Amino acid sequence: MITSAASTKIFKGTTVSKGIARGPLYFKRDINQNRNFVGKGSISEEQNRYNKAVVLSQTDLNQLIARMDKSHSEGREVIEAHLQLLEDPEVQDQVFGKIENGFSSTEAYTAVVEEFRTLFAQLDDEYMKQRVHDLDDVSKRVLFYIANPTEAYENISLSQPSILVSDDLSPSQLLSLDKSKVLGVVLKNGSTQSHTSILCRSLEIPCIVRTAVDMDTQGGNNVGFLDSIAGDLYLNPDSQVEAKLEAKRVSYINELKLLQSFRNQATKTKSGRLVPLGANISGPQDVDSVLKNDAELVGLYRTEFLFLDRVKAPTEDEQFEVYKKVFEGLPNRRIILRTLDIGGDKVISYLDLEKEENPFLGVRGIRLCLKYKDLFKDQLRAVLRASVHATDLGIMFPMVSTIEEITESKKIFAEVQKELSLKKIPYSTEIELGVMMEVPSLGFMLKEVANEVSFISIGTNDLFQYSNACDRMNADLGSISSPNHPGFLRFLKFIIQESKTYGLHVGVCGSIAHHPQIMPFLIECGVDDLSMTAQHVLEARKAIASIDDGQTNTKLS
Amino acid sequence: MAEIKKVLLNKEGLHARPAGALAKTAAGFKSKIELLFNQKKVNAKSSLSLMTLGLGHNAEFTIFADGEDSEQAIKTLSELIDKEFKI
Repeated sequence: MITSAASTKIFKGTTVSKGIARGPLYFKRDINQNRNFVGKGSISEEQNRYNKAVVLSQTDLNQLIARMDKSHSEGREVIEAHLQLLEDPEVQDQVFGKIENGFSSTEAYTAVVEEFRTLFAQLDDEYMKQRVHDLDDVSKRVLFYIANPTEAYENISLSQPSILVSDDLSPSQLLSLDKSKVLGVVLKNGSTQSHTSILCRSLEIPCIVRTAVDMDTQGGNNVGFLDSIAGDLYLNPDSQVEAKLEAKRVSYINELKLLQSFRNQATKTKSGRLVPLGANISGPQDVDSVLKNDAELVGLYRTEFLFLDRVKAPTEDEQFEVYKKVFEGLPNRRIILRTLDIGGDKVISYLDLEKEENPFLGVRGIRLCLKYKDLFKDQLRAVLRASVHATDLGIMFPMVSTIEEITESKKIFAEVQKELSLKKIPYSTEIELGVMMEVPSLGFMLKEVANEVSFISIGTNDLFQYSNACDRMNADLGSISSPNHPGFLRFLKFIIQESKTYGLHVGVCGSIAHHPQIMPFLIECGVDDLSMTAQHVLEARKAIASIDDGQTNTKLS
Repeated sequence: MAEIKKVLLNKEGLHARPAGALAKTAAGFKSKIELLFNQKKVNAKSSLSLMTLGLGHNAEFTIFADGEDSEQAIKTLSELIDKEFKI
């Protein structure tokens, strides 16, 4: 045991859920051994023994669900899945079969679980491989009850708030713990994809896995400091290290609190100018994160994911359901939906796309939609039908390079509206149309653009790529690929100011929208709103609150 | 005896939740129900067995049902798969 205060030990792990915690370490050992020797009875005795163990396990899990916080839907789902594993007919048939062939119930069940373990290990998908841990969790309990039908399967009980250190922790063990007593979780094994990890994230318990913690040599009254942001567990830190960690913990908590204080309020600069912050989303799965991070609008709803990796195009009805779900999930917000934006760099079996020498300069975005008009019309029809569920909807066309593309798209849009009207299918008549500003030459056509649509959204990633002749994904380009380029910034300023001159609403979506130096510059140029990954919204809101309009450093351009 | 060829539409493949939904729905029928993928045939009422098939997004597979309610079973399961297991 380590007694010297100077011998701080650090164990490195992989971050699962971020946070900082200090507290006594609780080393979990496997306490559920099969204490009673089990002999082998007759076939029917062994089958009954197995059945009884399954029933006792079901009772445990049902009680666990009953005790669980009703709002914790992820926890319920995990345990419900475990209940289903307990009742799995294939497991039961195979166990019974093996017992009939002379196995004891323990031997039979162990063998069946082993067979499934082998099958899972052969799967390619990392998430699926992890499901074997759910089976382990369930089978440990069943094996315990086969051996000890009159005893209670013990769960870990923490007498005081502690950092739990263990080889592994099953989802049901985690869920059976009193959450207020779990300061953190440190696992020697584990995986970021396991149910235990997923639950730690949803319960906001700091957690690291794959930690090289030496379980055998530790014991006694150990104090730990878990910095799961860095992925470190400090064992018995000396006073100097402890002070440093404590400072980090306090500032982390304060930062979180401060960010939370920016929830439910409009984003504005020091002088009070409103700069609504939006989230970029890809579908219904992102709705929660928009709400959680309090984004004021959706500045970019990318629809292409609905069209990728499938054998045929999504039907109008399928699209309608998806769009409706997003619109209903995000009421009272402006949502800018971008029509299908794909090109020759993607393989889409149902479209028969030509392989292009230079796909980023080829048939993509609106160019592709105007070529595959039926596909485009299906999408517009689905969006229009769903539009009655939206509060404030905008539709924008991607990769526009000519005014003709805008007029052609508007013509098709009007055709679809007319078709729906004839069929008496309702749609919103207040949808605004806009274009993505990604092709540099369109930046010098904003007067004409303003005659056709009411807003533009600057897609800074592609605009930069096209104006600076620089592949964003090429790591070898180093600083050349930084958007902090005076020429590019002047171009952005020009586009924003031209838009203002001609009465176009102008937003920026793309990763520079939350760039610490460029964001203030965009605001100073007069951008109307910004849209980014939802996780950046609160931080950006906080940064904007300290921007003193007119005082921004204009040296950037 | 009834059968139908299907394509798995949900992005994440036949993960725990969809496999559970499929097995649960299949268990509601008297017929023997099996799923064939990649030359492997398993009991569709067992979520564990379904997961071991490793069905990914766009996987093509066949469902077989044998019994008095086989037609209805095929119809119900087919709809469930088309709805991407949202029950």
